[in-house]
This record gives sequence, C-alpha cells and structure tokens, in this order.
Amino acid sequence: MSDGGGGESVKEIESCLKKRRKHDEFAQAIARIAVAQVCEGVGFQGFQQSALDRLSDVACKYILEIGKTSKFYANLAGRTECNVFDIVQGLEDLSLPQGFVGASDRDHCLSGSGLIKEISQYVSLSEEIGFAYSVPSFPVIKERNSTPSFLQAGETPPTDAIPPWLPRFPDPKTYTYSSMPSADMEETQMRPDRIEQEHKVLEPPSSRLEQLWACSESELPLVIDQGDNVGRERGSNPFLNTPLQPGEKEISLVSLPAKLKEEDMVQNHGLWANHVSALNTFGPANQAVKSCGCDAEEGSRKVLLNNRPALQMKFHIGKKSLDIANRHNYKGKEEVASWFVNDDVGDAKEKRTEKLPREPMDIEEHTGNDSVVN
Amino acid sequence: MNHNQQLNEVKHEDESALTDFLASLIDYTPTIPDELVEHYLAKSGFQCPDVRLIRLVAVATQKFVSEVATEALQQCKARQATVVRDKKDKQQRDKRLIMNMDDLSKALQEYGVNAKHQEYFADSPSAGMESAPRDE
Repeated sequence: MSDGGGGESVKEIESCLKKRRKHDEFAQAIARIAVAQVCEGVGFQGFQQSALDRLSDVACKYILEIGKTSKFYANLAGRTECNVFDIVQGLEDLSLPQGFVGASDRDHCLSGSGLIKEISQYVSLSEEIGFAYSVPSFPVIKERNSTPSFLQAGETPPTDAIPPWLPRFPDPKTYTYSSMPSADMEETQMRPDRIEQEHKVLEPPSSRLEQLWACSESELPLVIDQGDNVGRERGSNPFLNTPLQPGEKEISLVSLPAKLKEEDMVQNHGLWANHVSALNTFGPANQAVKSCGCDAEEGSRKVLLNNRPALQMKFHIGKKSLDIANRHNYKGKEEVASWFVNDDVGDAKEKRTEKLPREPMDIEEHTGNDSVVN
Repeated sequence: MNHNQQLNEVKHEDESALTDFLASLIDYTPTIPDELVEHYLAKSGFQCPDVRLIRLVAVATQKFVSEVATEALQQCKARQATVVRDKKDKQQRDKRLIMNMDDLSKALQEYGVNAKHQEYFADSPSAGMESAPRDE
C-alpha cells in the first residue's frame, strides 16, 4: 500500500536520475579517475565505490560552483567573459566557510589575495600527477550539412517574395516522380521521406516508366512499380518497400474444410492470436492445430480481403453438443467480453477447443469435455 | 607620497606574483584534465578562452579534493588507531587505507557538504508508534 506507492515513486526517481546520469556518464567517469588519482597521491590505497562516486560528484559540483560564481561576478561588472579576478572572487566566496588569509580584509586587492598564495603554495609543494589517460575534447559536435542558400548555390529564387539568403528549395527530382536510380541514389538515400511521398503521386511517365510498362505484364498502378524500384535503390531493404496491393501477387489459396463457414473463420482469426498459447495442454493435437491455424489465418485473411462476410448473431442457447457451428454464432464478439467474466472461464476453454478444425475432432471433443469437467 | 609609493610597490608585487603564478600554471599539469574542467565550466555558463584560467580552476578543484581526502585520511587513521589492540598490533596497522563513506561524510561535513547516510530506514511513517498502545 504505502510501501508500494513509495516504492514506485522511488523507482521513478531512480529512473529519472539514471536518465540524467546517462547524459554525463563520460565526464563523470573521467572525474572519478582524476579524483582517485588525487586521493592516491594523498595516501589512500583503496576506495569504496560509493565513496569515490560521492567525492567525484562533489568535485564536479565544485567546478560548477566556481563557474557560476565567476560568471556572476563577470556579469556584475557588465562583461560576458570572465577574467582572473572574477575567478578569484568566486573562489573567495566558496572558501569563506573554510577561511583564508586576508578573508576579513575589507578592501584587499584581489591580485594579492591569500587564496592565490595558498594555491601557488599547493602547486609548488604537491607532486605533479598527470591524468592517466589522454582525454579527447568533448562533447563532440556533429557537423551538420545545411542546405546552401540561393545565393550560395547560385540560383535565383522562383518568386520575388522569397529572399535569396534563405536556403534553397529541395531538388524537384526528390519529390516528383521520375529519374534514373543511379543518378538519384544519393538523393534518395538522403531523403527517404520524400520517396514515400512519391508513391502516392501519379506523375506523367518518363522514359524509364515507359520501359517499365513495356516490361511488366500485369496491369498494376505505376506507383507500385516505382516503389519497388525505389526500394531496390535503397539497398533492397524489403521492409522499406511499399506494401503489395491486393491481387498483385498470386498466392495459393488454402482450401477451407467444407464444414467451416466463412463467418467462423472471421471470428476465429482474432481469437487465434490471443489463445493459441492456452492450448498447450492438448499436446500433440496442438501442433496439428497450430499448423492448421496458421493456414487458417491466411485463409481467413484471404477471406477477409475478398469479401467481408456479415456477422450474424444468432441468439439461442446452445448445448454442449455437436451443434458447434451455431455455438460460434451465438458467442460472436461477446466471447471476448465474456471471458473476462469469471463465470465463463469454463465455457471459454470449451469454446477454444471447439474452434479447432473438425478433422481431429474426436480428440478435441474429449479433451474439451475434460477441461470443462475439471 | 611614500605611503602611496609603498602601496603601489605592493600592488606591483602582487600583480607580478599573480602573473608569475599564472605563467607557471602553463608548465604545471593538474591531475584534473582541462577538457573535463572546460566541460563543466561551459555547463555553468563560464566563458573564457584563456587556458591559464582553466588551469587555475583545475588546480583550485584539485586542492579542494586533496584537502577533503586528507581530512578523510586522518579520520581513517584515527579510527584504525582506536581499533588497534596490543596483540594484533601489526595486523591492524598493515591494513590498507580505504576511503569509507563514514570518513568521507565526516570530512565533507567540515567543508559544508552534507553527505550523510541515513542511520536507519523505517518501514512506514507510523513504524514504532503502534507499539506503545499495544504494550498497554
């Protein structure tokens, strides 16, 4: 109750913290190494992981604080760039709790600050320990290839309303339907979004299209062919191709058993996806069922595509008899809702068994009854 | 006039000390790398192209970390000193000096950073409160 609620909020906080840390992991890792090296110089021989994390975190925050206070003093003086006196003032602010020589002086000169003397003393006395690794400059800024302006490209904008210093329009080849694949390889790779728009646009055919028309036997819309070609241009990624239109590809139809009606298959199609796993108890029969089920799904899909049968909801009380077809009609889409009601759990199992194809029917019938009895 | 001259001399000395120190920083490589310091300073809005100032910040941070670590080391050694018994004298002293959260939190407390762990966690806000009526 309260623990669960508290636990969830803690998890959310932790996940938020983890997301925050992910942005800064590299810098924090380097800080950890640097702090470990400093502590090793002081005399430590080992660290607790949490202690090291804590100290490196504090060190990073210290750097942030110096930056903040220095920036504040620079802005106070009306500057955006910090100089050494801003840093000294910032350091003095941070060191006030500890104290340094001359902290109580009201008008001391910053260049003669006790802090600077302490730091120079530290530099002269301490050993110079270099960082263990060579650190690249980070964060790495990715170079963006921005589109050149009209002036840079040497083009004139199409209308007077568009100033020439704006980026130029994209190449019309990328959004009109045309072009050879070799020439446009780079463009299509750079702008995959435009290519998808191409599919929907029917443009007057170019010479390439006429060739395609001559080659292709089936009377398909232009868009599909171009989509296939473009898909090939893009490195033949089958998942990026346009979907096939109905009737484009010849698929062998599954011969449905005579007893099964189309309506049953329509209902079964949705139910198979949800409840195939529930049939594990039925052992060897199940495998046959699954294979039949897959075919049945395809058959049902074909059935759906070709003609959508009207769902007939015949409401009459069905017995646990061989009159299973009527049973299906009775349950229809109410099955899904009824399964969530605990009363019908037994009935649900029975329905699932009964939807199996009729051929191994004897086995299912018995097992179905068993499940209901149990 | 003399007083002013003396003040000017002092100022010149201070400035030269500062400039000398900054010049020496170019040779000295702080343990905290410049890139890391630049990253965090950029995060906080600090803008400066001068490498010597970056080194100054790095050295100041290094000094701070070493001071905290020295403090924690003293705490660690003090704890080991109290634990040492006469018979196991050598065994205890040979133990490695490991930075604990306890030592670190005490050291950081001196520097104004509260890094304490909770001593105990209660199951619920009312833990321990029900026991009083039950005892009756």
